[in-house]
Parts: sequence; structure tokens; C-alpha cells
Amino acid sequence: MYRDRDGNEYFVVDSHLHWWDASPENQKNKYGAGFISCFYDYHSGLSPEEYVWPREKYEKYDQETMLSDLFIDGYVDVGIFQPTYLTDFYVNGFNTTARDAELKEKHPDRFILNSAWDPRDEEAGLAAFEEKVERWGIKGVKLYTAEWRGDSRGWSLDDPWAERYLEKCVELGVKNIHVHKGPTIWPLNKDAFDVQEIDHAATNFTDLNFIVEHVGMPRTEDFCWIAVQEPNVYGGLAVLMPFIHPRPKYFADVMAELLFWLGEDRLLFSSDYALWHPKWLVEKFVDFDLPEQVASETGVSLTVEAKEKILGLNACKLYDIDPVEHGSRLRADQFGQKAATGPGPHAEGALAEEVAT
Amino acid sequence: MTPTLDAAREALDGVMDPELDRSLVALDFVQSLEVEGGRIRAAVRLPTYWCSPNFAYLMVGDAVEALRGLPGATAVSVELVDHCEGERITEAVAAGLTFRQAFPTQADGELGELRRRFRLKAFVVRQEPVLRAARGAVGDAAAVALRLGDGRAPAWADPEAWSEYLGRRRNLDMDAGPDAVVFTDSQGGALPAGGLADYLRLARSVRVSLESNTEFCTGLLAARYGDGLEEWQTKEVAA
Repeated sequence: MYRDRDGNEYFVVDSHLHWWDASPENQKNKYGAGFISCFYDYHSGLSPEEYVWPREKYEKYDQETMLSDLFIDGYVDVGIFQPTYLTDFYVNGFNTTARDAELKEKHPDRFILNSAWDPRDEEAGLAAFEEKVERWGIKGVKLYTAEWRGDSRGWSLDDPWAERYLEKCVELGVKNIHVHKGPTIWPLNKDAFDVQEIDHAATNFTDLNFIVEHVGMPRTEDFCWIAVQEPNVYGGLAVLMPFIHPRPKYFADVMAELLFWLGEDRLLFSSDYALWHPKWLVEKFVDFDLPEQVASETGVSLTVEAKEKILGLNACKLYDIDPVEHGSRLRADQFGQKAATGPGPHAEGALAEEVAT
Repeated sequence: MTPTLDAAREALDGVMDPELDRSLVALDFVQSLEVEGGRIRAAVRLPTYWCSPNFAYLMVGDAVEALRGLPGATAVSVELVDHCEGERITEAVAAGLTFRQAFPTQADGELGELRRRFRLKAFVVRQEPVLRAARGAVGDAAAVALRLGDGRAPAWADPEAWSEYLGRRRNLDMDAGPDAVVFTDSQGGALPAGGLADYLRLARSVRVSLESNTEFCTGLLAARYGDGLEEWQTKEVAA
């Protein structure tokens, strides 16, 4: 929970988290080394200096670090794990559902555990997926359509087997389909960022929500034009959020586009932890205003109400969380009692400012 | 006659990142450049280890072609460094292979369509500021009726923006004769005077996407290579 200077309170759902092991011992090949090295550049390139970790810590961080960064320092109420297997690069995978489950089981109120499937696993994969859903009460999945495997150069949500899996999701009540639309590593001749297939899937499966992770970056315009036609398409703000620090002008421009085309009800905050730390993202986002020129040219604004929805309330709706009831439980748990809550109406800094003026 | 370092640099300045619509030189993607008699060696670097190999292939291929086109160039090599497919791309481009030949099991076609797709976006992005200026100067009805004439920038247009726009028009092989309409959609279709505001609203989205992508890429490049990014390693040895 975050409380701003004016006393407004924000229930924070961080909708995209990882708990990875990219240590040299777990790296299978040069791709494993290259993958985490690229993540580290994302991290160090966009974070404020005081939030940049040493490389070794970044490769593998422990549970305590993660729990305290999110729930004590970072204002996060609930976090959603989005697994990333990458078993071709890492001996035990990068960030699997099973690994994340360890934290979920210890702190059930604090985490939502998502799973994953790959339609190329066909019948056997369907059964394994169903088992995971039953075991952990899964409500969402994270999908990587561009993942290369054997002779296959990725897959599409339109593929017959993918449709079987989506039907299974409807049947099991796994209603949130997070689709990664972002950088891929294989030399496809097509544009790997293409978001067109979302359109078709969203039309055919109106009971499911499609959350496009990274808002289709770097094809945000294509994403917006699809989302405007499909009410069950959402934008996950992972990777866009940190722009707010080193590139605020571009953050404002892209946010204005998203607010114009999708509106404030269909955007989800996330830190992509441990890519970035939620503490500074939440603080800067709550403080952020669209520049007047951008607001007037696009006709949108980023109000307190919009920020409340984006930071948490939209995700609460997708994952059936009651922020009031759930929030009061969280404030009493081991993190809630120690958690920072932001500047608040009468925090020292704000008070000093008032006195000074 | 042998090529100079300046000539080689200028040739690379004409090679674009097709996705960002900016030159490899402007983007600091050229890590080093050496000219020794008729031999030219360049190293190209990208913002991440994983940057799409398809775009990388186009850039390395275009760089080789641009340098080979210099009078007196006898041997040209362009190396893609610090990239997951760097060796393969460097060697395949040097050998004159097509993309599909270079990646027979991982590509099912060539890159022409991809290049065209981004040329269409670049056209829209470069057109936007010029069209906005035209609306302000002559009004919507006159703006959509403007003809190219001798191709020189009208008084209301920023000459550089005008020339960039005309360049993107040429990339799409649009009619460049004196009677050709200046402002069309990217398919060459007429723009309705009554719908310019909506059209420009879409153009803004394309521009914001391209600009923010460029910022992201340059930020990552800076994070990867750190300070001194702007100092190229160059060497010129007289033959």
C-alpha cells in the first residue's frame, strides 16, 4: 500500500514478477550467460543509480531480498509470478512455476502464481497443465509464442493446438492469458514483435482476458489499434514503467497513447522484478503528471483515480481480489507491520515542506 | 584512387536501421572503422546480445554494400560484434548469402517484406511534421491538393523535414513527377481533406512508438558500452 502526500491510498498489485536463478552454475551455455547479461543492461540502463545491484546479486537473489524489496520497501500488496522457463539456456530453468511455488506456498496471501503452457506439447502438455492448475489453483498463464524449439520457429495463438489449450483455460477458469510480445532471440524472417494474432484469439475467446505484456513494445501502435477493438485485451506495463526515470518525455508520450486508445481501465502496473525495483517505480508514477502539451494534444489525463486503477485495482478485478478485505489482512501479516507506506499526509518530508512554505 | 576514412564514414551514414529509421552512425552502432589503402574494415555493435537477427542481417548487408560501392574499395569487411548470431551473420553476408541461406532451418523466407513494412512506418513518421506544417500554412483542403512541382521545399516547410519526407517517399517508389500529389497515405491513396485530424492521430501513434523504441535502444546501447560511446575507434593508413 502506498500513501501519497495528499493522503490518497493505492493498493499495489505488481503484475509481473520473477524469482530467477541465472547463476553461472545454472547456465547451460553461452545463451544463458547472454540472456542474463542483457537483463542486467536493462536493469542498470534504466534504474536510478542507487538501485543498481552488483552483477552477482542480480544473477541470483535470495527469497529474503525479494520479499523485503516487494512487501516491506516496495509498497507492493500482492505480486503475480510470471514464469519463464528457458530450459534450453538454464539447467533447472530460469524461473519455473515450481520454483515460484516455493514462495507462493509460504506466503499465499502475497503471491498469485501463474503457470505456462506450450501447444507443441499437445495432449501430454494439456494433462500436465491441468495438474498444475489443480495443484496450485492457477488463474493465469504466461505464454511465449516466439519460443524456438527443435525445428519449430515458434507458434501462434491461432494454431489448432493453441486453441485446444485456450479452450482448456476456459474450462478450468484460467481466465488471464498473459502473452509476451517482446524481444526474441531467433533469426526469424518475420517481425517477432507482431501482435496481430492477439486480435483473432481475443475475438474467439471472449471469456478470457488477454494481457499483452510490454504493451507490444516496440510496436505499441499496432497493439493499441488491436486493443481498441477488443474489450478483453489489456496492456501490461512491464518495461515501459522504468522509462519514467531516464526518459520521462517518452514515458509520457506512450502513456498518453495507451490512455487514449485503451483507457485507464485496461492497464496493469508491473516492475518485472528483479529487472527493476517497485519502490521507485511506484513513487515516481504517483508523482507523475502528463506534460500539459501532451495532455492537450491527446485529450487525456493521468488522474489519481487512473493511477489507483493502474497500480492495482485493474489487476484486482482480473484476479478477483477485494482490495479492502484483502488489504486489511495484509496489513496484519509479518510484512504489513513493517512495511513502508510512502510520504503520507504528515510524514516528515511533507511536514517539513509545509513548514518551509 | 583509394577511399578516405571520411568517405567510408559518409557511406555508413547512409545505412539505416530499418526499424528505427536512423543511420548506423547516428545511432552509434559503428564501433570501429579502418581504411587501409583499398581495404575497409568496420565493426558494427547493437544495443543487446539478442537484437533481432533479421534486422541485424539487413544492416550488416547494407553496410557491406555501401562500402563496396566506394570508388577504389578493393576489400570490404563488416563484422557484427557481441551478438548471439554475430559470427554467422558476418560470414554469411561476406559470402553473399541470402538470409534464408544463412539460416536454412530458422527462416522460411527473405527479408524484403519486413523491410517494406518498416519503410511504410518511416513514411508515416516523416510525413507527420510536414503535413502538420502544411495544414497550418495553407489549410486542409489546399494541403491535400498540393503537387510536388520541382520538388523544392515550400516556404512553410522545414527544409530538412521536407527532404527526409521526400526520401521516404522515394523508398516506396512513389510517383515523383511534378504533378504528383505531395501528401498521400503510405499506399499512395488520396487523403480526404475532412479526415486529416484522424489521419494525423494515427500518425502520432506510429511516431511515438518509433521514437520511444529509439530511446530504448540508445539507452540500452549506452548501458552496454558505457562512457566514451561517441568516441569511435578509427584508423586511416595511407596505402
